[in-house]
Amino acid sequence: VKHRPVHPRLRWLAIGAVAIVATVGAGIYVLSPDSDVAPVQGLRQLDLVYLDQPAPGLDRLGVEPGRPAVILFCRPRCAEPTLTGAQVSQSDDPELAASYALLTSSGRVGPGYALVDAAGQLRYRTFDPAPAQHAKEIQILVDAVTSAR
Amino acid sequence: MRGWIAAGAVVAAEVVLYWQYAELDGEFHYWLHGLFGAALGVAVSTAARLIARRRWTVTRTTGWRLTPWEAALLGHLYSAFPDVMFLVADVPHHRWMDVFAFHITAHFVPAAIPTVLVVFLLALAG
Repeated sequence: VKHRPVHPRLRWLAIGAVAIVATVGAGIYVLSPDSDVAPVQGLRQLDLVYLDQPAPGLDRLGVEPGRPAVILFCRPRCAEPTLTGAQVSQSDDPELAASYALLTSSGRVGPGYALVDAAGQLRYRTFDPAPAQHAKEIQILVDAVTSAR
Repeated sequence: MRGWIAAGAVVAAEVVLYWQYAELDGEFHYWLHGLFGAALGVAVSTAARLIARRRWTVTRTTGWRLTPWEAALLGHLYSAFPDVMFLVADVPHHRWMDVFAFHITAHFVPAAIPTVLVVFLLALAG
């Protein structure tokens, strides 16, 4: 196949178009309210089970020992995801949310959730704008925590 | 003609990827891995072309080479591979997945989207 070089003007036009689309698209996202859900974007839906520390306040949250738990932190309360193999608890207590690092500096509780394994260890927590709509995502993490122990 | 087909295929693939991320409210991850991966793809493509020209002038004689759009999409797919594994094979992220264009660490770059946007624009200009 013989290569036919693209006309330089057309090439620069295309590159310019890509640059504009990328800049406008990323700009719209950065300025949207959705980008402000988490104080640090790295704390949002990272999907990495990276914690292993005792989960605070499980008795206050009504979590039964011996079973994995997904604890939602939302104010106002949010819809709960349907999960298998894990109990779901919910709290809008700022003090508890702070102990899970799911309280923002402006005092907003979540929205987000924490994942606690059967041994009562906090394994993951994240800001999440709509946990109920992300049940499949959460289930993958529940399954990972369950199979790891 | 090939360039137009490639451009159309790249746009279609990017739309599908964006839609998949948006389903999970993961637009941040689309832009982060998309821009950084695309920058990586374009930079590698440019470097390979420069080296090939200097050493063998291969690109001029064989006639086949990646367009910037193809390189960008390949870079995007490489960078987003852990997300594809998550969506397709239910594999959660692991720290070793940093081998895919710093897939984990990239999340913690301050002002991540503006930063990777600048990196992408610089790679594109190169």
